Amino acid sequence: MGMPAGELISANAPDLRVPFRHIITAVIIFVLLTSLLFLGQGHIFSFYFRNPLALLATHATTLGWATMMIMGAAYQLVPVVLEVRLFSEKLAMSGYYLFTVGLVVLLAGFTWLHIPILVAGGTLVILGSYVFIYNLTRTLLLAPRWNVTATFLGAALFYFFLTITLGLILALNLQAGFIPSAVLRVVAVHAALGGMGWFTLAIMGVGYRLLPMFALVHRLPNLLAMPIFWLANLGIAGTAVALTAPGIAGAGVASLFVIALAAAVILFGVDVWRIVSRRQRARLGLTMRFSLAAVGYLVALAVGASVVLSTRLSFHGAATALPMGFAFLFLMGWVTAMIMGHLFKIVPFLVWLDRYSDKIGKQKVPLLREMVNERLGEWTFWLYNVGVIGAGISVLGGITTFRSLFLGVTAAASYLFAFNVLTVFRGPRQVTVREKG
Amino acid sequence: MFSRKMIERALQNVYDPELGVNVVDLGLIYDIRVEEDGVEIDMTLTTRGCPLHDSIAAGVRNAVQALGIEDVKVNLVWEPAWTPERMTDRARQQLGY
Repeated sequence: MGMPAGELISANAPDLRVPFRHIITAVIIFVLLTSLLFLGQGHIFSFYFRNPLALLATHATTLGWATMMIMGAAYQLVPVVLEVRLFSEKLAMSGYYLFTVGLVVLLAGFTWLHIPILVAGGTLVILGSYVFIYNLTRTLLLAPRWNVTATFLGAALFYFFLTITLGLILALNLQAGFIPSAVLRVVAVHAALGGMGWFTLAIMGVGYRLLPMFALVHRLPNLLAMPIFWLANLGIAGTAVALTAPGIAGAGVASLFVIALAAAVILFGVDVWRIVSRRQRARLGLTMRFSLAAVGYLVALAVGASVVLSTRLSFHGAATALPMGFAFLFLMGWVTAMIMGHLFKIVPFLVWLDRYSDKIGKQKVPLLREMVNERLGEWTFWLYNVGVIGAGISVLGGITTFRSLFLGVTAAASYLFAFNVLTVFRGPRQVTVREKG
Repeated sequence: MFSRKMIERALQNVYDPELGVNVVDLGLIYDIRVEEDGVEIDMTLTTRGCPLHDSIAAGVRNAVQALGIEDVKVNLVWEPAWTPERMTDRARQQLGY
C-alpha cells in the first residue's frame, strides 16, 4: 500500500506564476484606473468620440483590468474544469509579456492620441491576445469532453478575436480614414462584440461552473444555459450585422436583436437566482455578494436598454450621457463587480495551493476565508457599490458635483480592495482553532 | 492496532479549506478499512478535478500517516457521487442551516 503525495494532486493546473502575474498586473491597473476616473472625470465624461482620456480609461478597463484578469483566470481554470493540461505554459508567459508591454505603449498612444504609438502598442496587444486565443483554443480542443463552461468560453474567444482585430482596424483608420462613413457604427460593433461577446459570455461560462460550486449546489440541471447561449449569440451577431449594414437591417431589426440579448441576460439572472436559492450555505460570502450585485447591474442595464429602444427615449444630452452611463455601469458594475468578487476567492485559493496544499493533514492550515480580511471586504462591497451606482446615475443625469463624490468613493473602495487582495500573498491574518468534531 | 474510530477522529482534523467543514462531517469518507499492514480509505470529493479538493485527499493520507501508520491507501471514488445530503447535522450547522 502507500501512495506518493503527488499522485492525488491535480496535475492539470499550470505553474501558479502564470495566473499570479496576470492578477497582480490587473489589480495595479485597476487602482490606477479608478484614480484616473476620479482625477480626469471632467475630460473623460465630456464626450466619447475620439476623446483621448475616455479612450485611455475605456481600454485600461477593458484590456488592462478585465481582459488581463480573465486571461489569468482562464489559464488556471480551463485545464482544471476540462481535465486537460494547458497547451503551453511557455506561450502563456510570452503572451503575457507581449500583451503587457503592448498595453503600456497603447495606453500612452491613447493619452496623446499619437497614431504611430497607438498602432505599435495595438499590434503588440493583438499579438499577445492572439497567443492567448491560440493557446486556449488548442487547450479546449484537447479536452476529452466539453461542457457549458467550455462552450461559452469557446464562443467568447471567437468574439475576443473579432473585437481586437476590429480595434486595430479602427486605430489604423484614425490615420488612413478608409472606413467611408458612420465610423461610430463600427465603434458600436467593436463595443458590442467586446462587451457582450467577450466579457459577458466568458463571465457567464465561468459563472456556470463556479457559482454552484461556491453555493454548494449539486445536481441542478442546466436547463437554461444553452438556450441563453444561443439567444445571446443571436443577439450579439444580429446586433453587429444590423449595425454594420443598416441598409439590410434597419434600426427596428437592430432593436429586436438587442431585445433578444436582453432576454438572454434576464434568463441568466433567473438562473443565478435559481442557484442562489438552492444553496447549501446560508451565509453569502464576499464572492457571492459581489456576483449577485454584478448580475443585478447587468439585468438592470438589459431592462434599461430595452426600455430606451422600445420607447425611443430622447432627452437633452442623451447622445453622450446614455452611452457613457451605460458603458460605465456595464464595465464598473457588471464586469468589475464580478471580477472583484471572484478575486476574493481566487487569490486565497491560489496562495493556499502554493503554500499549504502539501501541509494539509500534517499541520494546522488556514481556511480560505481566513486569508482575506472579511470585514474590510464587507466595507469594500458597500462602498464600491454605492460609489458605482451613484457615479453611474450622476453620469446618466449629468450631475457633476455628485459624480465627483461617488467616483471618489469608488476609488477609495478600489484601494481597500487592492490592499486586501494583495496582502493575501503575505500569508493568513490568523488561523482560528477549530472545534474538533 | 488502530480502530476505525481513531482513524475517523484523525480525519476530523482535515478541513475543506473553502467550506471550513471537516471531511468526516462533510460526508466525503465512504469507507475506512483497518488491516494488518495498513489502512485503506474510500473517499470522494465535492467537485471533481479541483486542485484544492485534490489536496484534501492528500491531507487525508497525511493525517492517517501522522498516527504512525505508514501504509495508507486512499481510493478516490466518484460513485456514488457526493451530494449535500451526505453531510452531518453538525456540518449543516456550520454552514448556517
